[in-house]
Amino acid sequence: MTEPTQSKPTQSKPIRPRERDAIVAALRAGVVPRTGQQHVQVGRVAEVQAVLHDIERIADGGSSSRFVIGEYGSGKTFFLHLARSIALEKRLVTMHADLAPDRRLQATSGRARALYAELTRNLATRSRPDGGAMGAVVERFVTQALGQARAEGSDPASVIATRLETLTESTGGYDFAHVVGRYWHGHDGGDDQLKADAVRWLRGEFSTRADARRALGVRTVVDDGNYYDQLKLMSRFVVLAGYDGLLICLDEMVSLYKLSNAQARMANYEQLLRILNDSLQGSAAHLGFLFGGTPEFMLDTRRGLFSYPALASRLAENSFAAPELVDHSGPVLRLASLSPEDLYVLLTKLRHVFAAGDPGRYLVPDEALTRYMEHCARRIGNTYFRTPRETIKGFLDLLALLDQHPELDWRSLIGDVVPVPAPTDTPETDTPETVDLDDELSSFQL
Amino acid sequence: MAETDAVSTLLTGIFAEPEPEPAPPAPLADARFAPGIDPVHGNLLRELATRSSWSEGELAELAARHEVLLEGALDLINEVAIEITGEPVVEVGENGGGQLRVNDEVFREITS
Repeated sequence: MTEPTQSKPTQSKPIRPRERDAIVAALRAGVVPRTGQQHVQVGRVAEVQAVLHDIERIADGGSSSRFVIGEYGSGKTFFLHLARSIALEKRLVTMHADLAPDRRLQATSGRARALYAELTRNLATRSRPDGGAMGAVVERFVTQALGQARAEGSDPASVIATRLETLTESTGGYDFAHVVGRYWHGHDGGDDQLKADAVRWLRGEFSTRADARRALGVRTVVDDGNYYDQLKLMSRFVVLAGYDGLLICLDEMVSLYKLSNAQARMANYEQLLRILNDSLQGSAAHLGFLFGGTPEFMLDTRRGLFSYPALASRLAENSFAAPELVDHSGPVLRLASLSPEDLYVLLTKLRHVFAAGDPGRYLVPDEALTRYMEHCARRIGNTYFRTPRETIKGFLDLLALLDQHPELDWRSLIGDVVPVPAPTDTPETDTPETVDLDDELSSFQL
Repeated sequence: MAETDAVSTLLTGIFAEPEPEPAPPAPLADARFAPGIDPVHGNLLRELATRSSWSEGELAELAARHEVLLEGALDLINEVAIEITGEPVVEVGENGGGQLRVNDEVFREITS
C-alpha cells in the first residue's frame, strides 16, 4: 500500500468485484474486456459523444452508419466494444462480428450467410451481454403478446399475427413472421424441436429450403442474397419485442480490402453502399452500423473504399475541417493513437480498477507510473504509447505481483521487466471469443 | 487529462445506476417491484426466489403457470435489475436449465 502523491480518477465509486476481475483478466490476456470499458476509457470524448448521438437516433427510430477508422493499435476494437456496451445500456440489442475471408458482406457461396450467422450468434441484450440472446428476444416478444392476449381476452396466436403484421409488408417479412408464429406454436404445444428450429431459422442456420419447409413450413431460408433484409426485419422485430433498436458492429473491415479478386471486392463495397444509403436516407428504422477499419481500407484509391467513387464521395471529409477542427457529424470517426499523456491517464485508471475503485488500496504511487513509462520508452522505443496492449499487460502483471507479494518493492520490479521480440503487425485475429486489443509492438515478461 | 475527465463524466452518466425513484402508491399487492417489472413477472420472480435450485421441468411448469416464456421473462426481469443495481437478479448457470440462482441482495434492492 502506498500513500504519497496519487492522482485519482474522477470516478470514485467502488467497482464491483466481478467487473473488476473481468477487466483485469481480459487486459492481462491482451483482449478487450466484454464489460466495464468505461472504467478504462481514455480521452475521445467527442467520439464517444458521436456514437452516443447515433445510439439515441437509432432508439428514436432513425438509422446510422459510422466508420471507425484507426491504425492497428489505435484501439478500434476497444472502441467498438465500448459503443456496444453503451448501446446495451440504452436498451438496444446488439450484434457483432469480424469480417474474414469466409465472412463477407456480399458473396455467392454462403460467406455472407456465414456473417449473418455469426452476427446472430453474438446477438446480445443488456441481460445477456455475452450473446446467444436470440431465443430470449423471441420469448420476450411472445410473452408480451401473451400479456396483451390475456388483457384483451383474445387468442395469443392472433395477437402475435397482428403484432407482426407490419413486418409482412417488407421483403422476407412474411416468412419471418411465420417463423416467430411457429415458435409460439412450439411453445404452446410443448414441441421443443419446433422452437429450436424457429430459432435456428432466425439465426440463418438452415442451409436448404427443403429442410426449412419440412421443419417450419416456410419457402425461404436466410441466404447470401437476403441476409441484409433479415437484419432490417430483425431491427424492427426487436422493437416489437420491447427493445429500442439494433446496433450492428462489424470489425476487421480490412478483410474486404484484402480480397484479391477485384470483382468480389467491388461487390462487397456495393453492398456497403446499399447499407450506407439506407442509413443516410433513414430507410432502415431503428438500425445502426459501426464499421471498424484501418486508414488504408478506407483511403486507398486503388483497393480501398475510395476506389469506389460513390463511397468516396459519401465518406469524404468535410472540406472545411482541419486537424484542430474535426467534424464528428460525418460518417467517419478517425481514432487518433494515444499520446504519452493518454497512456499516463490510462495507467492511473488501471491502478484504480485493480484496486476495485478504492484509492486506499492503490499498490503503487504516481511516481511508479512515470517510471514505468520511462522504462517502456527505453525498452521498446518512443512509440510504445501508440499500441498500448503490451504496456497495459506488463503494468497489470506488475500490479499482480505486488498484490501477491507485498514485501516486494515496485522500484526493483520495474527494472526486471524484460521485453521479448515483437510478434507481427498482422491485423487482429478474428476468433469470436477473444478479441485482440491491438497488435504490433514487443511483449513484456516479468 | 481534461478530455479524459470529460469522457469519464459522460460515461459515468451513461452507466450510472440511477437512484431508485419513490415507488408509486400500489393499489395491488403485487405492485411492490421496481417499475418495469409488471405483476406477472413480479410474481414469477417472487416464486423463483423461494428455492435455491430448479429442475428444467419445474421451471417450465413454473413459467407456464405464470403464463410467460421463461427466457424472455428472465431477460426482462434482469434488464430491470441491471438498470437499478448493475447486476442481474436471476443468474443463469453455464448449462441453463435448472441452474438458476436468485441473487438475494439484488432481489431485496429491486423490491420496495
